[in-house]
Amino acid sequence: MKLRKFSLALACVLALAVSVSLLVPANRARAFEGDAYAIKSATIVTVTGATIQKGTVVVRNGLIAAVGADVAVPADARVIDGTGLTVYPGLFDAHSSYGVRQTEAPAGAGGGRGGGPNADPAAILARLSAAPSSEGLLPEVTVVDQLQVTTDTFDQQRAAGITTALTAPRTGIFQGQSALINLGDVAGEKLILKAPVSLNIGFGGGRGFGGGYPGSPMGVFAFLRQSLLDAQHYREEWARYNKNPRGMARPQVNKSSAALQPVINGEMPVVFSVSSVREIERAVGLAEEFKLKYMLSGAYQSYQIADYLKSKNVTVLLTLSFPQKPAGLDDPESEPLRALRDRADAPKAAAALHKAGVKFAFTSGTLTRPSDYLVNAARAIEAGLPKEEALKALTIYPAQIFGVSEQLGSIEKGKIANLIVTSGDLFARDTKVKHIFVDGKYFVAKAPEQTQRPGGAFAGGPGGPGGGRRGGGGAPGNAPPSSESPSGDASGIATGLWTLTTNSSRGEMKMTANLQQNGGSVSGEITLPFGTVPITKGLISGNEIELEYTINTPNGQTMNGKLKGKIEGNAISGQMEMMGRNSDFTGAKTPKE
Amino acid sequence: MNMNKILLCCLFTLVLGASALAQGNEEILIKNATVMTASHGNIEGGSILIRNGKIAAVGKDVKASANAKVIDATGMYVTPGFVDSHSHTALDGTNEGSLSVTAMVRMGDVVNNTDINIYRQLAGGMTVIHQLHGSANSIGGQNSIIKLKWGQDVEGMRVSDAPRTVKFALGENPKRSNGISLPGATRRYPATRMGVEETIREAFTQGREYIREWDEYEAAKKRGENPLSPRRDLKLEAMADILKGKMDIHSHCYRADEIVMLMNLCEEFGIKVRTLQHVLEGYKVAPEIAKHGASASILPDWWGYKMEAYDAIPFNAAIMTHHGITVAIHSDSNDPARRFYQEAAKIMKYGDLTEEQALQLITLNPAKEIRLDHRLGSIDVGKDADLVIFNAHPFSIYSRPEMTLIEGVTYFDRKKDLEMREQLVKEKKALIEKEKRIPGVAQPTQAVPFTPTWAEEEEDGHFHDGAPRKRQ
Repeated sequence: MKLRKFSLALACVLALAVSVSLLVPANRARAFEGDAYAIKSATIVTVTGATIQKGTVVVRNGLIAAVGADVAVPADARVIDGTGLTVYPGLFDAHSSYGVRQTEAPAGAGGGRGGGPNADPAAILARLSAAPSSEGLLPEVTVVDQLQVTTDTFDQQRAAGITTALTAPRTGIFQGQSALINLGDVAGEKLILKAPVSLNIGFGGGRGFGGGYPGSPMGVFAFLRQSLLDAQHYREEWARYNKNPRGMARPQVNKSSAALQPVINGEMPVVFSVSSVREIERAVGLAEEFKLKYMLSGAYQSYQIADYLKSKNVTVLLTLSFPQKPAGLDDPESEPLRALRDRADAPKAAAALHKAGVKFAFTSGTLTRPSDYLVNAARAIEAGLPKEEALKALTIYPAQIFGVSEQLGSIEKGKIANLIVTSGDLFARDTKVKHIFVDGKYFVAKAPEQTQRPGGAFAGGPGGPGGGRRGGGGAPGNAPPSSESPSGDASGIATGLWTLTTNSSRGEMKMTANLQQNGGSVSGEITLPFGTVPITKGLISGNEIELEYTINTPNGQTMNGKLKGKIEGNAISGQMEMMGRNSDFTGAKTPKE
Repeated sequence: MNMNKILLCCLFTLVLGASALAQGNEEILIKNATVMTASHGNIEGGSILIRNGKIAAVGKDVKASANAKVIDATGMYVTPGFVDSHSHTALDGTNEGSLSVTAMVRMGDVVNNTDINIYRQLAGGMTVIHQLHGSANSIGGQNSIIKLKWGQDVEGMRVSDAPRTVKFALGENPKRSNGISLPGATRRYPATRMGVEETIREAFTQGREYIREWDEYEAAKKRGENPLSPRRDLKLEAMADILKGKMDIHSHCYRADEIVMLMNLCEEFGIKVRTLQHVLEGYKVAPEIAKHGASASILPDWWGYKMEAYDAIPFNAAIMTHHGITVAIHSDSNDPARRFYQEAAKIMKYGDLTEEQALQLITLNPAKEIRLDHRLGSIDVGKDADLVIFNAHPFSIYSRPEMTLIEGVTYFDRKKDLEMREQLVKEKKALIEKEKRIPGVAQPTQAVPFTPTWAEEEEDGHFHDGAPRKRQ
């Protein structure tokens, strides 16, 4: 029995390994590593030098072997006829979370990873009230340890022309030590260009509802200050000990303080994720208080303070994710003018920074579709940024900022062969990326899917285990057995105990819902951090479910909540409305015993 | 129609801030007004001369240079700019409620200079606010003091020589008796009033220990030794500063017993409570408060919204004033902060304070509580030219501020505001139209850049200090 299970698992692992190494789909990634390529008769935009109108780029062993108008095509090269096409260096995304494994919620009591939610409501409650995890509070966490790349992880990015990215998680206060990676399709370690590059810090990373200290914006600052002060003390303590260890008690090693040493010594830059002007000012204030080397990421409101940023000589990783009109806005007049101005002005940020002489590179920010990256870069150009500057902010500027301009950022002999071949001008709306090289490896651009979740899909999450849409991600052996039959149950697809997770601005919140479906109506109760309350209204039509509930707090406040979602198998996802705010939620049904 | 008005209010505010240019150097003469000095009576037909942002002269007979800008205030009233000794306006957070002692957090780190309530309060004559941490824990964070210089950056709003203050809280909020708690979850200590006292005593004791640790370190250095410096602990550093009298205690409190408890506890550690905030039962222990030397900052007429608020009376301010206590009215909310003068007027009805005493509740007295009465709170030569010009007597329900000046700069001008509305409506319309023409914009495919607001906390009335304001 045990043996059978083991051999089954082994078979799965083997099958997966084989599929990764051999069965690479022909339409996507033809691996001709070590082979030579020549793109001939193409317009070559070198970025650092003059554009070559009818030239050839030769790629060999992952590098650009030759580039020029009179370069001969080697006999062994596979030839791409570039007539009518344009070659650009592969684009950078100067701050992303591409390829970072999505960490699951702190396990707390019981419940193994991937084993589905724990069936016991008591255990769920125990998890709700468990001690908060230290996730997002540890500067020693490195992205290198969290990279999870499979063959298709970066399909969308490559199709959008992005071949290099700075990557780190986007949640928490200490978000991790970032890595600069090439967006290829091989194991994470092989993609790393440089790591660690920076320590990434966010101010929105309090621990959220009931999560412990720090749980507020001012708590975040106190926490950061104390961490940096502790690192300074640690430096002093060890310097004093190392100077004269004899007769002195040995200081204790502290991973967090140790990891912060290059930061407080000004060797490793901090990347602060910021949005508004006041967040920018807070980041600058903190950096100056501790004499940190730093950059700003996001900073969409920097259009208001370009001169200030210049006076601080700060580098900006500028987001191309512009503010959007809120969904479901009935009356456009109901928005404050400042929101409208913000949306109108955000695309002007790049031009403002350029004019003020601030060094900047583009990032995708919170864009969920990589294909929007160039679309929005074009909007920055429409808003006044010279086209050459836009191109540089996608290529050579980030290469310079991250210290890899000897290897990347332009089409020059000896540089890494990260190239994109387009049907025309990079910023024209109808231009398509046709061919892509990452580390000299050739990819045909894959048509972008309609939607994509940032950072990869949940392994074994919505979509159901065994569905195999993504083949279980890169986590073989993680898929839970799919013995339960979720739908077709006589009692209705909603019936059962659900665990739900929502992410609000204050962090993650867990809920459970015990539901009973009766035809088109649903009854039951929902347990929130505020307590357990009955469902006041529950409707289901097809797989679309709508639940309402009311919470009366002991001090007489009334809060109405609403959940609207879709059930697919054992998974549910949708929108949650609480205290007038909307957030997404996902969840799963607890399997019956 | 009302909705439209509110929207307009949202609108017009932006431009005005920019128009409040940093004049300051010019001479301004406000003439022929009823000047309510808040320190030495009213001057009928009085004038105020402003030079370099300061009050240069006050009186019936004030001479200005020929090129002074003249504001004719005939028939109008001028008061000092109002000071709110207990505000949560213009902050991106309220409570760091995770621990019982969070003296390390600083509200000054999260000032939001774009909060529209700054402008709305300016329109009600408010010029200075004491931005307090919430009352979720026994010892909250360090507070911040700003002037409502709408349009300036955060540094421009800060009052540079303001004293450091810290928030304490007693009673139901820190013990979380009204809070919603997680089923089955352990509750945060303390859960009783005894626990609150113990929490504060423990923090004081730790602070005293921290002082000793550093004193020993300094002494060892003096002796020529090479000691390792103690770890800097921001929480204990704050506690040490409280014990050294470098940081004033502003404590949320309701009941007479806890008021006396805190004063005794502080006296035990050789310090004083600077201001008792809310202090609903202050009238019961007014002699004790006067003896201790604390001032009082109150809600004029809120009561009954929770158990500990049952014994409040509207005569609280008058009774404490007659006992020689410095009493101020505070807003604790964006709403009364816009009509602060009416809050003060109520005390003339409830009690027998003079008009000037009532005016002092929102000017000179709160300025004293935050130790800025040397430059704020009354119309006296040498003080900051923070002034409000009313169209009628400020204690009349029919009056409204026409202009609000801070350091001689006009930050609110009703006339300009009215003029601007049309233009802003036009701009808004144009932007909405323009947006329709940008392809792709209307599709919510991208997430809005994330800015934490912690707005939920603000909606939880009980996390705030005083009454739940959002009554339906």
